[in-house]
Order: sequence, then structure tokens, then C-alpha cells
Amino acid sequence: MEDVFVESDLVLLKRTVKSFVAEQVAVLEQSQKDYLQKLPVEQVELLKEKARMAGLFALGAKEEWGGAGLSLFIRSVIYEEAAKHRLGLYHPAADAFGEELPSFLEQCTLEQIETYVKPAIERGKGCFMALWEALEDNHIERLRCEAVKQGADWVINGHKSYIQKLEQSSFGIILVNCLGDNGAKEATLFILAPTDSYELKETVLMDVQTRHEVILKDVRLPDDRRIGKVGEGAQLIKQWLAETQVLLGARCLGVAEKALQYARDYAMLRITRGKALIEFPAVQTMIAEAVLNIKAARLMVYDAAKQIDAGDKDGRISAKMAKLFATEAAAKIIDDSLQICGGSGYAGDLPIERWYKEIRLARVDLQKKETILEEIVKMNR
Amino acid sequence: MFNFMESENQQRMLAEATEIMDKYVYPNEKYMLPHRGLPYHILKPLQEIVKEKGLWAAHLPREVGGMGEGYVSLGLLSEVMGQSPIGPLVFGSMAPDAGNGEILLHAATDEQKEPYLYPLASGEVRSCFAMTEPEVSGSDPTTLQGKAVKDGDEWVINATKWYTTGAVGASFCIAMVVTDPDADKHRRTSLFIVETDNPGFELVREVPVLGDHSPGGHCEVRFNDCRIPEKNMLGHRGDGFKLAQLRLGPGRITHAMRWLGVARRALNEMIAYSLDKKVGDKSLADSQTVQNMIADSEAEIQAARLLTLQAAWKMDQGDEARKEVSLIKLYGANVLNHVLDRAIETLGLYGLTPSVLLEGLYREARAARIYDGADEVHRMVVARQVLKEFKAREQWQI
Ligand SMILES: Cc1cc2nc3c(=O)[nH]c(=O)nc-3n(C[C@H](O)[C@H](O)[C@H](O)COP(=O)(O)OP(=O)(O)OC[C@H]3O[C@@H](n4cnc5c(N)ncnc54)[C@H](O)[C@@H]3O)c2cc1C
Repeated sequence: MEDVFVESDLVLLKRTVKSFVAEQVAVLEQSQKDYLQKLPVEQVELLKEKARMAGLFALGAKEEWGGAGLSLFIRSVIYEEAAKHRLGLYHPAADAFGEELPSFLEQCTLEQIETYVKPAIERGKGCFMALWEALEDNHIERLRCEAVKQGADWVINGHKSYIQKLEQSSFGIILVNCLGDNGAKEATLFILAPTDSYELKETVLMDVQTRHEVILKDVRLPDDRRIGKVGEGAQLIKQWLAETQVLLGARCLGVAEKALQYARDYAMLRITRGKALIEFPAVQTMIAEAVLNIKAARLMVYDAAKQIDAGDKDGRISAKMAKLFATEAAAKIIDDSLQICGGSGYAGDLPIERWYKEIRLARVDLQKKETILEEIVKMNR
Repeated sequence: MFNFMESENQQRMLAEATEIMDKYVYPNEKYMLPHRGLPYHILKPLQEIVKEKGLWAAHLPREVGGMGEGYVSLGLLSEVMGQSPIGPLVFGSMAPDAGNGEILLHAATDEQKEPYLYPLASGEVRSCFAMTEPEVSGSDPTTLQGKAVKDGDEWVINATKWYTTGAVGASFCIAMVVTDPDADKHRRTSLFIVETDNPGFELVREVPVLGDHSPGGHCEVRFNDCRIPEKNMLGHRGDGFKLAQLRLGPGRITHAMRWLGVARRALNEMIAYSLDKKVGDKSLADSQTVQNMIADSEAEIQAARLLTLQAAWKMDQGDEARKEVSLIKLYGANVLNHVLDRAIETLGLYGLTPSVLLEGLYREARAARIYDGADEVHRMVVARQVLKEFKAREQWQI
């Protein structure tokens, strides 16, 4: 019974998101005169107000924190739809729904929730994740940043790289190895406040996405910044990783659909050697494979989301598989769409050009293919 | 008669070119500007060094200041200079100037060579080539719509073109437009030399595109009642299609070998990183997964290289090598993209930072599967040729 309810609610919700994206976001993007890299902050703030009024806000955050408390599955459905515009792969609905927060924040103390989490939700901000390091962006166990206890404080040293959406965050979370007395390294999470004395550096990946580096030199954090117990960090971050992988997969579906739509429209209209491109089997094959792979990817994304919602032990590996399959499928579809659109696909007048850069990033981000394959083998030998 | 050795002459040429790359080209990559190549004051002295060494403009014959060493040498040299995005610029064989030089050499009258070919060949001026139109399929140039109409001893051109590479800063443009709409489909167009300060020539915009290594951008240009004298027609009336094709053959050798230079650079980058990076007490290069990627890349590069050199050799024997040229365009462009993809996969997010060249090469490389004939078109050409050869052989057997 419950499923049936969810389904009809979901259809409505999807429709609401779809019209929000079409009427608010896409229109705003198209109204920008120059080649669009990002939308002006004031306009995003206005969009956030509109989204709030439409009830599309803080989708994943718990209800008692002021969020909508939607399941990962429902959010996957929403974000697929919300990604269907130029900036959508990394800024679904132009970030109007507020940033996603990791579910492990429920481990936060009441004080942490009041000080950091609730204000972030209120403002539609997120928390950045200082996780990967310059030469380690796949294996959590190999990270090196360290913390040493001194009195009631932890003193942290290390570099964290490739931090995403720092500008959209009101606080950060860092994973460090706490050094125990016996020399043991215990991965632990801490909250980074904007007032902390870390250094920031900006870089642009693939000419399309701003990321930050956080450099910590003897940064002192009081023990009350810790999330969860000492040594629980890796488990908590893996939970976040799984959620984030599923949501990235969901957004890939939306962008792939949209890319396919541009390719199909182009192929129907473009005449070459006396007939429309869509009449050529080479083009037909690309379109058919796109439809096929979007369908398969969607099933994997939904399946992983539902497993995670149910607390299923296979959820994490399913999330990795969904991420891998959805990013690879989207990459192939974006590549084929670019090909079908020829010079138009290579040009920034269409958004395929942007997606081509972003999807290459997405493929290596949040664990790349080789790492995920290794993990799948571990589960199956 | 198989001989895979470079001649002594070629060995010397390659050694000298490599030295120039090491000493002058790679160290200056840091001055490269998106869509602008190298600043003039840095580029000019480097070009002089190349000229002094006699390695300038390998695609052109000696009488116009080129090397005149044939296609195999051209290919070998392109591979060396291709290892840097500014290489072709420094060695005077950058698209579209190289192709335009070849057309002019072939079709220009003496009167046209003086003001256009010579300054272009020496690198004094830059040029552009305006064929593709946004409204019709660039893969089928018989559909072009932009036209020129005769008015007394002038031609009046009206056309909108895009992807006119290098239009910013070009002193003239070779435009392909319809002069004879009712003629046979391959005889409808003609080529014209249009100076870019002609009041009827409008540079509408630089189209924003994925890659940014081409100096002068990829532009949308418009010809608004653009009047040019009769003497600026290039070749004969109706020759447009034929001359545009002619431009592409040698160009594909240059492209394909240059791509192999890029691929080699990417593979080197990937190997250096994987030897350097430690995973526990081993290096990443010890991983079989990475080794597989290295081996596949090496295999593809070698295969494409031999294909390309063979096509070049055939052309040196006077053969048009149509099938081979299509093969290398198709296969080479894909090898380039595969190798870059594997290099990025190996380096991970680090490979996408501006501190490594890979991301820029990756963006630029994607165009190779579209310009000068999309993959699908070359696949068609190759397949048709193979089928034809097969049928001919079968008949011969019967
Ligand atoms: C970086 C770059 C630089 C360029 N520089 C120049 C320049 O200097 N001057 C100039 O005039 N032009 C230039 N071009 C334009 C280029 O020549 C055209 O983009 C190209 O010919 C393809 O034409 P189109 O873009 O109109 O694509 P279309 O002709 O519309 O083709 C689109 C796609 O359809 C498919 N397709 C086409 N034909 C077939 C077929 N027969 N069978 C199956 N599938 C098919 C292919 O996938 C193709 O990519 C440049 C392009 C790029 C990307």
C-alpha cells in the first residue's frame, strides 16, 4: 500500500520539480547574455525563496531540524529532474533547494546541531567535506592528515584537496587520523568553523569547476567539535560517500536525458546527404544505446537508494556500482550527443560542451572505476 | 621492400627538432594564453630559431621557404612538434594556415601568391578558412548556402559562416561560397580570398568552445554585401569543392602525426606519474590495471603511427591514399582521445588540475573526431572503399 501512495505523491513531486526547473531555472539561465559559468548569487537567493515557497527545500534534512526529511530514493527521483538544465549536474535546480547534508549529522551533539546544522539548513547552505588529499582521492584508508591530542584540544596538520562547494557551505567537516598513545591511527570527523585558522586555496578542475584546498598547520580544535567517537570517522564518511554517490548517479540520469534530447532534436532537423541524420544507422545506434543505458542506470540508482533507505548492508556497494554505471553511461551519452551535434556539440551555445567536462570529472570523482571494481571484487571472492 | 629506418637526413631533422622542443618550446608553454597561442614577442624569436635551423613550414616546398622533404618527413616532424600545443605554431605549420598555404600554392596565380602566399608562408600574417555554415551540415559541403553574385568585375558575397578558426588576428580569409547554384552539386562553389579589413567582412563573435589551444579562436563571421574584385577568385569558378578536398589530404597526415605527439605526451605523463606515486611500498606502475592501460595505449599509438607513416609514404609515391587517409583520420582521432582518457583516469582528480597539461589536451582533442570529417563520415568512406576492393578482387578471381 505504502508504495502506491509514494508513487502517486512522487509523480506530483516530480511534476513540481520539472516545472520549477523549466519555468524558473532554465529561463534564468537562458536570460544570461554571456557564456554561462555560474548564476549571480542574488538570483540564486531569489530562487531559493521561490523553492522554499514551493515546498522544495532542505529535502534530505530531518524534519526536526527544519528539513523535509525525504528518503534517498525520493531525493534521487527529484534530483534526476532537477539536474535537467545547463548547470544541473553539479548545481541541480541552480542550488535552489539548498545543499544536501550528510545523514551522519544525526551523530552531532545538540549543541553542534544548534550551532552549525540548523543555521546551515535555514540558509540553504551545506557543509563542505575536507576528505581527499592531493594525491589520494580514492582510498579512505590511505589518507594522511593527522590530529594529536593536547589537553582538551586536537592539533591538526595536513592538506585536504578537491573540496567541493566550499562557497555554498556554512561550515566544514574534516576527516583526520587521531594519533592514539600506542601510535594507532583512528579516523575521526571534526567540524571546521569558518573562524578556524586554516588556509584556503582555490583551483579550477577541467576548466569548469572551482574546488578548494584546505591547509591546516597546527590548527587547534576543541574536542567538542568532534562528530561521533574517535575512530568512527571512516564508517561515517563511507555512509556519506554512499549517499553522495547515489545522488551523483541520479543527477547523471537527468543530464544524460537532456543531452539525448538535444542530440535527438538535432538529428531530426539536420539534413546531410539528402536525409535527416536520424535516418543514419550510426546515429540511430547511439540514440538507442542511450535510451537503453539510461534505463539500466536508473534501475541501479533507484535500487541503491532503496537499499540505503532500508539500512540494507549491501547499500554501500550498490551505491558504488550505481555511481560507476551511471557516470559511465552518462559519459558515453554525452560523448555521443556531442558527436551527433558535430560542431554545435563542441560549442558552448549548447550545454553539452559543459557536461563533457563535468562528466569527465564525475567519473574520477567520488571513487573512480578501478577503485570501485576493486571493491566489488572484495565482496565477491 | 620494407624499411622502417629514418634516413640520415630525417634523423638529423628529428634530433634538431627535439632539441628545439626541449630548449625553447616546453619551457615557454607557461606563457600560452587560451585561444591566443603565444604572445607575439615570445613567439617571434622562437620562430626565427626554427627558420635558422631550416625546420620551418615542413608542409611547403623550398621555393616558398618551406622544407620540401615530402610527406613522411612532414609526418615525422609533426609528431615531434605535436608534443606541445604551441609546437606547430613555433614550427610554422599551424592549422588553418598550413592548409591555406597548400591551397594557395596549388591554386593561386602569381599575382595572388605575392600578397597572400609569401607572407603567410613566412609567418608574417595569419589567415582563416570559412567554409562551414551554422545552418547546414558541414559534413556535406554540397549543401552550402552562402553565395557570391557577380556584379561587373566584382563579386558580392553574402554568407554566414562559423568555426572560422583563427579569424581573430587573421589578415585574410579564404571563403567557400556558392557561385553556381544550378551546376552539378560538386561544381556549385568557388573559393575567394577576402581581406579581413574589407568593410563587408564582419567578425560576429568568437564561439565559446571546449578546447582553447587554437590561436584566434573559432569564430562566427558574416559577409555582408562583401565586394571583392574578380581577381580574388582562387582557382577556377566551380572549383571550390575540389580545392577544399585537396586541402584535406596532406592536412590529415599533419593532424594524425601531431595527435600521436599529443598522445605520446599524455602517455609519458601517465607513466611518470605512475612510477612516482607510491601505494604502500609499491609504485602505482606495479599495478596490473595501470600496466594494462599503458600497454593498450602503446599498442594503439604504434598502430596509428605505422598506419599514418604508410599513408604518408604512399602519398610520397604519388598515390592519393584515399582509404588510408580516411583510416588514419578516424583511427588516429580515437586513439588520441582514448590515450588522454586513460592518462586522466590514472592521475585522477590531480590530472584535471591546471598544474598538469592533460585537461587542456583532453578538451582540445575532442574536436579531432569532428573537424576534417566526423568519425562516421570516414568510417563510411573506408567501408565503401574496402567493399569496392573486395568486389573487384572477387570478380578477378571468377
Ligand atoms: C575545432 C574545430 C575547428 C574547425 N575549424 C574550421 C575552419 O577553420 N573552417 C571551417 O570552415 N570549418 C571548421 N570547422 C567545422 C567542421 O568542419 C565541421 O564542424 C564539420 O565538418 C562537421 O559539420 P557540422 O558541425 O555542421 O556537423 P554535421 O554535418 O551537422 O554533422 C553532425 C554529426 O552528424 C554525424 N554524421 C554526419 N554525416 C554522417 C553520415 N554520413 N553518416 C552518419 N553520421 C553522420 C556525425 O556524427 C557528425 O559529427 C571546425 C570544427 C571544429 C570542431
